Amino acid sequence: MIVAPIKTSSAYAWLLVLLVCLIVFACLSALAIGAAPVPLNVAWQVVQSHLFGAEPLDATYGQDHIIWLIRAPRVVLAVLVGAGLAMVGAALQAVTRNPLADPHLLGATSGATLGAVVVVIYVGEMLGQLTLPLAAFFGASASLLLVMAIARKHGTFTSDRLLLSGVAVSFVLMAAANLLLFLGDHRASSSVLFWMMGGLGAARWELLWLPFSVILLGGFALWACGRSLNALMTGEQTAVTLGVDVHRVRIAAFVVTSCMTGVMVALSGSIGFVGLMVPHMARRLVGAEHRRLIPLCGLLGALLVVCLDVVARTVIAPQDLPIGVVSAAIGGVFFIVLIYRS
Amino acid sequence: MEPFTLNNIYMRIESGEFVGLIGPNGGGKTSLLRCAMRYSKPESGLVGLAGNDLWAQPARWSAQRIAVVGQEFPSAFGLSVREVVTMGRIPYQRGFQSESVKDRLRVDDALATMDIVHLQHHEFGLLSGGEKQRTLLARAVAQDPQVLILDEPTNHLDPKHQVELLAHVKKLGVAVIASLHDLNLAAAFCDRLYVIKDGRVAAQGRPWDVLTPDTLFETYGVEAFVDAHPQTGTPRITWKIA
Repeated sequence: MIVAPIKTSSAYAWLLVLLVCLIVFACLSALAIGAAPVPLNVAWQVVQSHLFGAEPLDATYGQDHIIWLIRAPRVVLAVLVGAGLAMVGAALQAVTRNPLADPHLLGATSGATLGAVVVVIYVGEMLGQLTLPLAAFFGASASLLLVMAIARKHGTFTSDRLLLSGVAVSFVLMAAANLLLFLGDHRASSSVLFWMMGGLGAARWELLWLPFSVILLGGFALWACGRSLNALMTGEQTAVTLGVDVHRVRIAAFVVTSCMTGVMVALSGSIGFVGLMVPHMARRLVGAEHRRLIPLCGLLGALLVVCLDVVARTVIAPQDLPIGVVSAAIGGVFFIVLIYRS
Repeated sequence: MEPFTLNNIYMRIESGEFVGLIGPNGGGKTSLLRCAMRYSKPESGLVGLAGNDLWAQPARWSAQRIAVVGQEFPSAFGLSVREVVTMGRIPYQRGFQSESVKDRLRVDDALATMDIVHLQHHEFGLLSGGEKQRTLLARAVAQDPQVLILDEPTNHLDPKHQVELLAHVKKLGVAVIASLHDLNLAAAFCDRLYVIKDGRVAAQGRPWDVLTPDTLFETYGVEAFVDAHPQTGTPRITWKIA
């Protein structure tokens, strides 16, 4: 079988350009679609007015408010989270040499959940809206340190030990979080449960700098590690004999992906399947070479989550469906089709 | 995993020499090769290349001089043959640089040397065993090595592919250290042989000196007949059937 239809670098560049156009179009549509539909050209005017200072001729004050203060940050967060999850998934699959690895595998998500549960149920929202994201991020970082402490042996980490420690820590932290939810106040529990199912409703302009910088820097770092990831994917001995500092790359990849996951989970809960599925789709297009794969994963992931969020917002409007439900359902069916056809 | 104990190993390989490691399974051949490829660090002693201690140099330094065809196969993710071979250029590339013209030429050369140009866009995981080994050897060639280390390169190959692969290796003209199961192939291709057993060098020398019935019996515990290969004149081993 001949792999990867996109082989030449010009075809690859055109693919990226096409995807960027699709993302821009999807974002604009996402601004227009919703419980209170706004015409596409009005949505465009509003965006122009805020970005370039043009006069929004046809937009009412209400439309301006809905589009710029509610929908726009949400769409931007969808782009960031989608890109982040997909790039993290691709990198982790290479580092662990496991095609089923996904961003929620290494403990960051359970740690974030535990942090969120503890704060929401027992401490209260002492920092306002920032409380839950901060607590979640703190939990994710703590679980990262815990996983690394457990996986460490003779000063080094192997992929197997990292993976197993991540899974084990995940289960323990999740058990603790579930126990607290079970014992805790039901109203607080349901707000945490809803957050866990994933949603982009927490997006505010003033919060977006954090995921923006973390995901941009993290994605760049993973892309820069692309060659080492290629080597690691084929095996530890191969990577070492190709001159790759395996130990350092593995730790770097693990820390970077955990931080990215922590930030994303803190803001949007656990959105499943994107990090697992998008790398597989992207590999079908450009093959497994990571310096091509990681940027493509970022764009595909962004496009996918923007679309998923539109579905999540409209299916039972005016209520939001948790986006994790939508992503898992659509992603699962998509995977079943793939399995069936291959 | 318990580290395998190797003791009192002294080996010296000249440039361009083809050296074979033979001996029973579990005797330490792979452990020894891992030391030579700067993967396992010996607790004492020295692994050197052209007067340099390998462990005093970064991994990149030895990767530019020593190439390995091991027993790891990249299969799960659908890399193409060309992508696998291009990895041989990793030791020469820095962070953000894209492949240079020289990288691409070396990859083209390596593909041509191994006769796999026509396979370059195929998925590595779906190739036959012989094609896979040729691809991995092409990756090693792209690495521009002075020393080539092969760990059981002929495992799982048909006789035709075994002979072809070793002939390809021989033609490269670089120093080769290979662990080999097939003694007749070892005798035909190697300039010198080391018998590794119980973590020690049990015997060494040219094929006719090493592959004697006595040494073979001591090494493998089986009696053998040794005569000359009708074509090459190298030792030919036939096991005595009990």
